Amino acid sequence: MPTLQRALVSALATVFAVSAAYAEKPSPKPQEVFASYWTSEPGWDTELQLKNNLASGPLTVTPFLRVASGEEIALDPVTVPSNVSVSVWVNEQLLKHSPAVLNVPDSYGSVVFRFTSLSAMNLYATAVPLLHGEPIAFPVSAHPASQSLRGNGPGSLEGIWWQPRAGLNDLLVISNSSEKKISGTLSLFNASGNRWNEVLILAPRQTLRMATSDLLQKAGLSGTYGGVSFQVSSSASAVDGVHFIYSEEAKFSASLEMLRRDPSLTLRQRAGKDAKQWTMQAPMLALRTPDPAVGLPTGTFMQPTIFVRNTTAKYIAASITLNWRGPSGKGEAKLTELRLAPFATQQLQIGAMQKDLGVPDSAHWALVSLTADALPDDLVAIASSRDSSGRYGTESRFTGALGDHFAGGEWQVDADHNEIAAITNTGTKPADALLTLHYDNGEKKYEMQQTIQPGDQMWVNFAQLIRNRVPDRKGNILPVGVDSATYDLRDLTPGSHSLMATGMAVDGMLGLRVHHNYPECCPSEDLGWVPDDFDLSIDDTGLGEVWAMDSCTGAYGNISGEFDDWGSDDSAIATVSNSGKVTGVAAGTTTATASGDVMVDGCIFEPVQEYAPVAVGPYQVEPINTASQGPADCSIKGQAGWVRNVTNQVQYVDGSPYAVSGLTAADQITTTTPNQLGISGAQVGSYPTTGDGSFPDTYYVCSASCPGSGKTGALQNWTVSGIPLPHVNAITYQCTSILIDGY
Amino acid sequence: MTEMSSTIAPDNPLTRMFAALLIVVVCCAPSVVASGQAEEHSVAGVVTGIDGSEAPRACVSARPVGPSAGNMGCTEADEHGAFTMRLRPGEYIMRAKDEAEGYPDPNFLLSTDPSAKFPRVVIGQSDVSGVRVVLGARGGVLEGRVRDKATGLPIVGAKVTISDARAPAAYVEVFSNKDGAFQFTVPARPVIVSAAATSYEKGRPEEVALSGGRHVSIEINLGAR
Repeated sequence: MPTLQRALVSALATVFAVSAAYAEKPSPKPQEVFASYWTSEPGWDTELQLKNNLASGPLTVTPFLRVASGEEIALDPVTVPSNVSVSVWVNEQLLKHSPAVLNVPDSYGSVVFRFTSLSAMNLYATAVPLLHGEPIAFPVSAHPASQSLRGNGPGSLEGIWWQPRAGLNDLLVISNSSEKKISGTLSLFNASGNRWNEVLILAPRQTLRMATSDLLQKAGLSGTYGGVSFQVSSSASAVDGVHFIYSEEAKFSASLEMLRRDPSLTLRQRAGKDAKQWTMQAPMLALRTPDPAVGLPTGTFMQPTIFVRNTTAKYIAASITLNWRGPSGKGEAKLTELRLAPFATQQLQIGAMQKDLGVPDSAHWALVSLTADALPDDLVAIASSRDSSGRYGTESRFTGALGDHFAGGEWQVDADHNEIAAITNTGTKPADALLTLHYDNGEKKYEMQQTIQPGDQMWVNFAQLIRNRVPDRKGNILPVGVDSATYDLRDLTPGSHSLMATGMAVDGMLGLRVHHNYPECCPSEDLGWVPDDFDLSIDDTGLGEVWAMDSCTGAYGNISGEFDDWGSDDSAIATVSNSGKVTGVAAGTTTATASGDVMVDGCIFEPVQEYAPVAVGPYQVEPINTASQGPADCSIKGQAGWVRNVTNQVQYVDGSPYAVSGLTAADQITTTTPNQLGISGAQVGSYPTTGDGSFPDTYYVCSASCPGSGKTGALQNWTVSGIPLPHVNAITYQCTSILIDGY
Repeated sequence: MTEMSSTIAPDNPLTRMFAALLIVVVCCAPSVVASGQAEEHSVAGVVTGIDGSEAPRACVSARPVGPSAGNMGCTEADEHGAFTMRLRPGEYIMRAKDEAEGYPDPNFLLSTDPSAKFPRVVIGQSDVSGVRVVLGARGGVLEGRVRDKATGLPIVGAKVTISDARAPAAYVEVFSNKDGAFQFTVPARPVIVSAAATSYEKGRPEEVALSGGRHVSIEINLGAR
């Protein structure tokens, strides 16, 4: 492009038409979320907790209880406002809908939550079976059937069994959420990795419930801990399970979560392209001396323990680091490297090691990180911390799951309840965390923003926030009367996914509960450039971003930080910087691209490339309407012809107006063949444009061959303020018509 | 069709003197010239009515003489009717209109007016001045709206044909816009107006005669076919 022309165009009014319309939202569609267990057996009830993750608008959900054999019982639909959690009590609903199933032995099964929405992740649901009058309850998180394990390929549920004392009850539950029969292999392992197998067949929608202790006896395996696995060769996403142990006598209950393992997932998919090793974390291990904030009886001491299990047939070396904190400060301790035999499970008595590790006896908490040269889910680890009676304590599974943000459940605060949360930065760079509490039926917000250093944690004590009238980032305080809130956590650092949310419920009845299995929310679908195309003048710029719909909230947001490679298919037409700036270079069209390993639905990193067409204009001049037409006054005797008055418009390649006034559009018309009207020579003209890039123009033809049926073709080359346009119009002259590009 | 009987050449002393009196407006003038890449020259003149009065803001165009085809815009005269445009060498017919004031578009056969004086100019190797373009008789502005007879809703894209009441071969087609509206400046003689649109019966022709720059509105209602 000659410099002079460039200068001329630069002098034009700066205009670039950005197509504001981002792709329309996908339509809501039927969704299903599945929890693997409920019970209404004598003495038991189940609380179904439903939280609407949507940024706005209610969600109407119908829970369906499936009995063990798979028949469904529809419960009352529940409408849940945005950012609110509501509870449904199973016994109350069974009394209304199916009293025969209420309070009878073997009344258990799975739960399906059905609703119509943009994504299954719009609902966060938990089923909590609990024993009346006892501090025994087990939260069972619900999952979209397709989320954790993609597709219908092979996979497994992996867990750890634990018999910390004699006389425990234990339940191993495996459920089939699908309409297909599923067969698989149930395996139990002792601590050394010795294996026992049994084939299990799950009918459609069936729930199987077993006692691990019975299975161990059958298997002839001994010990107090080991591994449990259920492997399927297909339909892995339809299998879910939980494992509980409890003792009414000892007031003890523990939930040993089962990991859904997808053997096809790579380290890069789970941890990003920069990850060199797989790391899992347990952010809230209660150390020997309890934090006074959790309100345990004086003199209570904990017995922190870590179980690590190798789910593979190969040796795996793993290292464990404790980042502890307490009244004396913070510190780090490294454990001796573990070497795990195939399928073996190791127990690490952290409490007994504290002194040797240099962890002060007064320390309250540890962030435990486990790192291995292994694929994601090759290791399963559980952190447990209980007092000697087992009455007070928690278990939590290590997780390496990272999300774009987390949509949490309900926090309660009153005389018997509180919530303590640790927000952990698991990454290598500082992270800007925004924790939002939604209260007053989801209508009010309390926002805490804090930069968290790598490996560090932000601690939140819900009761203290209220009691101490701690202002949030906007100066708001939580009212004294607030007794519950839901929360979400967002990492405001562009492209960062290093935050992990862990909450610990302090319950005067139940003791402590860790629930960190909040859904990780990620861009789910409808990724696209904003704007979705660019119409630029030469040397003008437009800023492009890539947006996507959030799987949990349904809201659209800028995810440009996920993309690290931006460019243009033809840099002679337009360039694209890594910040998304698109610059017109020369008239023509090209495509802007943004590429990267992007955390998408299911919070899996996948290579993604997004495109946006770029038109650097102006590209053409076209008639947009005909004002009048008719036989011409040719002023010469013997000649006749046709006149057509049109409005011409300078346009981008997509036909949108190049809306710049004061330009000079100039044309040159050259006749071609056929030339049956005997027109000779080339015609030129120039026209000033108005605000929408248009101008009136009169096309005419006069010929001695008119009237008649002859035709003359012509090419019309346009320039705009001296710059030739790529498109050449084809004109056809006849005695009773003039067509321009067929119009 | 009317032309001045003589062409105006640049060396004519009378016309040079006349041109000197003009107030010349130079604008981003559209121009149309005959073939060739020769240098452009300015053409200056004035637009008047039949009575010699100035025709401010009249629109002047130049069309090559001879078998030709092309496109042309027009150059707006100043408040005294003076204009200047640039043309390449060749022979042109200079014509003018002022549709808002009732002077119709002279490019249409329908608008042919013996009282108009549209001169020929020859552009050679130098500028031309003193061109006098005389508008013809003042017709009127015909405005209208085409509607669905049953619903009263506007019909978009209806073709309204305006033809000479005595010479039907001279006609103009105009098209209704999104509001069903159309507008055309008709010559000072009776015209027949009729409308047609896809899926509608053709409207009944109506005779209209306008003069003196009068604006008239008509309603055309078409029945669905």
